[in-house]
Amino acid sequence: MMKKIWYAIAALAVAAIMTAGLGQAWAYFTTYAAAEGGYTINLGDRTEITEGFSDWTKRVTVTNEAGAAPVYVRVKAFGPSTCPLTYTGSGWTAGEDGYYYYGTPVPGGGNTEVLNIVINNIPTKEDGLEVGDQFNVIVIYESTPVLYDEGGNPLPADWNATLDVVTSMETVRPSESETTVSPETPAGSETTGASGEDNKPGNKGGISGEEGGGAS
Amino acid sequence: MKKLIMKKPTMKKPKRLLPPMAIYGLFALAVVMLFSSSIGGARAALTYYSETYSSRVQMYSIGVSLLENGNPVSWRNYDSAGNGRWDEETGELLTGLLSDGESLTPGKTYREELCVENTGSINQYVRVRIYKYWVDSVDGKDDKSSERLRTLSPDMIDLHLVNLGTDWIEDTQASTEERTVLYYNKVLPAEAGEASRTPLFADQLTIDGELAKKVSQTESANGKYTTITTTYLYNGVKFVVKAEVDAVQEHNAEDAILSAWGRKVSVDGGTLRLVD
Repeated sequence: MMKKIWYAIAALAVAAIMTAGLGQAWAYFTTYAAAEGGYTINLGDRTEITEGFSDWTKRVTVTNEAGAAPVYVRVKAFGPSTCPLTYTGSGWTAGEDGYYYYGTPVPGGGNTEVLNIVINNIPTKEDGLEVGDQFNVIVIYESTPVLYDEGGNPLPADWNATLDVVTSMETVRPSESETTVSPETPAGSETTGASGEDNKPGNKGGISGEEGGGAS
Repeated sequence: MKKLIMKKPTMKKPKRLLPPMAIYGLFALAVVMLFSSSIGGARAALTYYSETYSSRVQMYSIGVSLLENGNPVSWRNYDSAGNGRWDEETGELLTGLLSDGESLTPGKTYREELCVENTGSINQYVRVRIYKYWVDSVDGKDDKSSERLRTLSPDMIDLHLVNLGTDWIEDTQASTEERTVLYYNKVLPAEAGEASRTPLFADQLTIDGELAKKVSQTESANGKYTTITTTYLYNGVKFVVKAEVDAVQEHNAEDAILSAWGRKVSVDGGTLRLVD
């Protein structure tokens, strides 16, 4: 009988201790509030070059796809050394490196003014040119995304900035029979160029309108 | 033979003054009068001190709000009636960051002023947990169930913290690259107007423009061409800033904070310090 009484007392003591602890925890006043928010980043740009040719003049326009981030654009053309090229166009300025730079960012859905590239000293029959002979004037363009300062103002284009390639490079080597890369592939966030391309933010715009004209 | 007869002494019963029933009646009357006299005294005392005496029971309540650019965004305020009910709102941050039609510009600094207000009736201590992370965004739509992208750096989300060391102290033990834990090192008083608000713990938000240089590249050789595809790692992903505010009573704060938040602190003269 006494044993039972002691057990009862012990159980009561344990319960009392536990209840006392719980009561203390419940006694604190606490509360909380939380909120979250965010936005989606849009860095993608996809540019495309459009080119017309007449009167030994190439007329180049670069278009930025609608919804894309603003970009800076520069253009350069290569031709035979005997046929010097002259550039004219509103908003375009010559750089020391042979590129012509479009001075203002091209917004998504926008395009540059026309850059006229005039081919001079066109060879003639007297120069020994035969009918059917060809020579090429190749136009390349590059674009780079616009960066902004703290006030949201566009920073000057940094064509020498180095990209930080974060992930390991995945090399895909399709068979020879597969479709070749189209020279007219729009650049956007893709870089089309020679193997071993350096990590520059300027997106190579590919080679456009490679045929400058034929012999007259 | 003479018989001795012992006569038993007889005790004389005392003469009763009152019959028993009368005694019981008097006793009952005395008890009634005793109670009646004390009640009458109490009434007299109350009447004497205040004729318009009224009783009021004060139940303490705790409440806290998160403020963004001076406006309450989220709060949880318990009812002072002590009925276990509360007024709660969970809002969204950054809704006023951009104007209509504007898209977020990496590199640009946006106003994002965050602080805490005591909206209860008792003094309290507060802490803030700030989370910054990236989630996969489908077509740019908000989806809170989106998967977190842990390979993208939270450092690109620059929520500029202020008043560190003076008003807010960072718990570096609890902070990670994705989470920052701040404790307000003073008591936040209740019902004190402007004094019920903490100083700002953040004032600006900038998405680092350097993320435009973070890319992955894939090479594919095709005949005499090699195509290098460059993909922006942060294009099309959504950044998230989350702030969680916790408040605990001022009374017995050290034990309360340890119990509620699991953090050992010392409180001396109303100043809170983290104990390592």
